[in-house]
Amino acid sequence: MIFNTFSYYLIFLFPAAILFRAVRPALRCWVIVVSGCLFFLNFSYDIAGIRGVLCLFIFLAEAIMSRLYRPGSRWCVWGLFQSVALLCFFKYWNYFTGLIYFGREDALWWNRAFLPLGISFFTFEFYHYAWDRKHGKTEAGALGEYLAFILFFPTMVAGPIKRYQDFLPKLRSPSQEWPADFERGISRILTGLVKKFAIADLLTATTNHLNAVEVRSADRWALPLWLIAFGFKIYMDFSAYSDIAIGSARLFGIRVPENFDWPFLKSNIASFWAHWHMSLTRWLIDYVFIPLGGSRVTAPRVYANVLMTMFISGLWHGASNHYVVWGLWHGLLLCIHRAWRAYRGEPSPSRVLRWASSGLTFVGVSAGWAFFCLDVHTALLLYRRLILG
Amino acid sequence: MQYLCELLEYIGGERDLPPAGTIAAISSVFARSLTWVILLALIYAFCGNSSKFMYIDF
Repeated sequence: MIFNTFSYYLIFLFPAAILFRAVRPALRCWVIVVSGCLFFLNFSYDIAGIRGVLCLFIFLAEAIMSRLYRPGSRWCVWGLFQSVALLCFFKYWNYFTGLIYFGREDALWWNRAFLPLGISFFTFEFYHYAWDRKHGKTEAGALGEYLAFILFFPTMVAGPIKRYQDFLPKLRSPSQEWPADFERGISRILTGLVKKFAIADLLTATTNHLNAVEVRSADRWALPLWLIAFGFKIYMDFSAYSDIAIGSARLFGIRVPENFDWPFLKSNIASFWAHWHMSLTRWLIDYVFIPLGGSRVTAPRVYANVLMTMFISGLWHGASNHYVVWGLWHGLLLCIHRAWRAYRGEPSPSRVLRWASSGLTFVGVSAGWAFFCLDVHTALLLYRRLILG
Repeated sequence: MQYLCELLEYIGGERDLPPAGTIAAISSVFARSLTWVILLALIYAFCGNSSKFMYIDF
């Protein structure tokens, strides 16, 4: 829950934001560190008990390790490995062992598996810092500053995924416009809560139908409506979350990256991804797509890079085959778009064609939601019913 | 469409200034207070539905 609880606002956000602005500059980062630790301990205990609480050591170990990172250093490579290993261990252990023991009893099954709070997001920030330090793209900063970066609680749990070189100047000299920051920040938080309560949660009533039993028995016309409702629900839900996170950060006088910019109005799939979960897209481009060779290699390699990037995006969204298929579906759409662009050149500026293109993009994205919210068999059943009746 | 998006972004707290061509009254203290009252009323009306955010531990 977190952002829709009173305790988040009354115990953590407002006291920490006011204290952050009240103390002298040298102590600001420690206000973030202490409040971030308390936030993590409190909500981790709610989710995973004492095991969740102990995961705070992950942050402390990472902060100590980060002091060893130098441009070109092997410690940075170790840091990269450590970030990926952490994510794989907690999030994918049972998924990967399930693949190894395919069809047989999984002897390595971790019965009490749990996810440390925000692990999918904070490991990406760890990875970014190690990579950028290795390539000399960011300064080390002080220990307190790096701890403040990884423990900044408004973005700790589900992003937006920050960059250290963007965050550091804002941490050192946050905005001093108290009234404007509080007015705009609180407006953003209230808007996020309305999107969550009044729209996303209301759409849940419709998207609850997306299961094997109901897909089998539903009227055919209802199936696309359920998928569209799911698309809007996930958009409203996650953009609401991002609104609250960004608004919360604004109370500290710190601006964090935007995550959504009207993605459903975009006229092609590449533009959709450039405006949907933008901080993740940029992370994937910088730390997966470009290191693979990006678009400066032969055409077949570029398509392979796109598919690999979206494969990783899908797998990151969840330890399940249907998320992988969802990622590959988007990879395929991006490849088709790239091939079409290479064949036809720049699109026509015609408004009608642009709207038609937006409609087609919306259909492609909506079709993909089946693999996001249903297992592969049920998603295929939904398509069969949709096409054959 | 562009204007509508920018206006909604301003009301929602994303932009610091309203889009060009908007009447000045929209950024008055009264209008902003009214926005908060409406948003709080909507939150109060719908908060019973509350469920977990999808992207936490998904």
